[in-house]
Amino acid sequence: MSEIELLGFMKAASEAIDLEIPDECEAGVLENLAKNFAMAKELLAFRLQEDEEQAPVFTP
Amino acid sequence: MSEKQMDAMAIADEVRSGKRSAVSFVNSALESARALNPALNGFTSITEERAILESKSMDTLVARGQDPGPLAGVPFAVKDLFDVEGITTLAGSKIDRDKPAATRDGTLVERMRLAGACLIGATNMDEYAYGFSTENSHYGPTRNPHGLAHIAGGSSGGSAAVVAADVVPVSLGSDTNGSIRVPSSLCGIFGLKPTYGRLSRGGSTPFCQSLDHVGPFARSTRDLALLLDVLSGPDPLDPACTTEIFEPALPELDKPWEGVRAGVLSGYFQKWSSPEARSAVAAVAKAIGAGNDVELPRVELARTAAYLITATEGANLHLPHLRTRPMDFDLATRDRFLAGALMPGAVYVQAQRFRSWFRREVGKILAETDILLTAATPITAPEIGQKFADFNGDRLNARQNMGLYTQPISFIGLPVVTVPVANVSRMPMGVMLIGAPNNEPLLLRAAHFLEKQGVAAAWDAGL
Repeated sequence: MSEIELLGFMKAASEAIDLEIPDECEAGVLENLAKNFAMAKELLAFRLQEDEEQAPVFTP
Repeated sequence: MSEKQMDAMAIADEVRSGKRSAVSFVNSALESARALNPALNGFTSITEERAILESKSMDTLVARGQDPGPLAGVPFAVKDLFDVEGITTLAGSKIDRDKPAATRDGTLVERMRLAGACLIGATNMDEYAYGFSTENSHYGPTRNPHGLAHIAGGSSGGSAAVVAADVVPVSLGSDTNGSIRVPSSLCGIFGLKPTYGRLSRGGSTPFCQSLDHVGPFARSTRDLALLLDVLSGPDPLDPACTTEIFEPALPELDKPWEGVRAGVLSGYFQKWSSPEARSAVAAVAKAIGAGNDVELPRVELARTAAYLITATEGANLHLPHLRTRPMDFDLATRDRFLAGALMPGAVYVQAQRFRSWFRREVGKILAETDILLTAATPITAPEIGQKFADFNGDRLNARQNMGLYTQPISFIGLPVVTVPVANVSRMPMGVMLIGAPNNEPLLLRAAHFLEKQGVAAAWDAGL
């Protein structure tokens, strides 16, 4: 995602959940969003079987 | 061994036998805490009145011929995210200063008290346990007893530092992504991150509930085993806490060692290792006769998934304060929490599903190998304030990458004993002994063997 796309996402998503991002935090949040989405893309590219369990309460 | 370096079992033996009073051990620990804390900044509060009361009651029991418990008179400290009756649990934050004082002890604090231990104080940490360095902007950095210019590691840095400095023989911490194992490694002491759900988190401030663990730090393996036994047991206050009853670990320590299959983790787990980390792993591998190298599948994705789950769950937990008081968060956590709050649900679900896959794949490996070895941290402790460090040729953010090797392991809840390796580096370096779920006794037995061989030993800070 470009910086402009990330900025648009940040503004839309934060407004949708009533979370105001203070001006002083914008640069840091954008930096973290860029990192998170880069990681998320790699993770989502991993194909799991449809029946792979979700385990919301994890048991080792 | 000096008086200050006595482990918890040695102290309890002297108190139980009436050879020395609990009050004298507690006074000695309090004196040491007051003297060293200005330099170390390990404690956020010192519970002097309580410690003295508890120690007097131990001495009374001994005088009456009653059993004072297996940890009689043992001074201990807890990370400032465990509730302690009468004081406000800060969790390293400014925001939680506004909370009322805890009305009762957290489950593990209570179990320590019932075993006879005496609480000396609460210890410094990264805000809300979100960090690997204990460079807390509200309460200052905790300093490493082996080099005061260096970090103690985090997020349980205070708990590790006060054990490494011989203020107390044992302490409690928490570990979501490495927060017991990283400071154990950097401070040169033993640490146990048990199996997920093995010890109760009741009465402690959560960070990321599907990954949070709690466990002890110690200067000896027998103390780790004793604390595991004392602290175990079901607890309705923690829904993840197991109801299974386990055999005590302490009697297992000296059982025969032959036939245990050990392997060294390779690939990802060596990529960023410094010469110190490699030497430490080699020393442990040689001592326990570790065989072939073992490679875990898609480890980098395991770290990624753990990172994203942490960001999402942590942000959700703190969303009310992110909405109302964002500028009161530590700069080191604030922007990560804010970004985590915006994580799409599909990413979080994929991370949890990948976790199931990874657990199953690693489970196959653990069916063939009893113990897996790797360095607990790729490098020794960076300096306080140091932004970047050399990770075997890669210049990486020092704070964020101390958990490179710990994070994929806690991701699937495996038990780990971190052992401080002797004589391989100028600053401490620890090695993780990793096993199958609920196999803590075997890991403790391996750590005890290494301790007896002189390969593993708590470092002497000489303070």
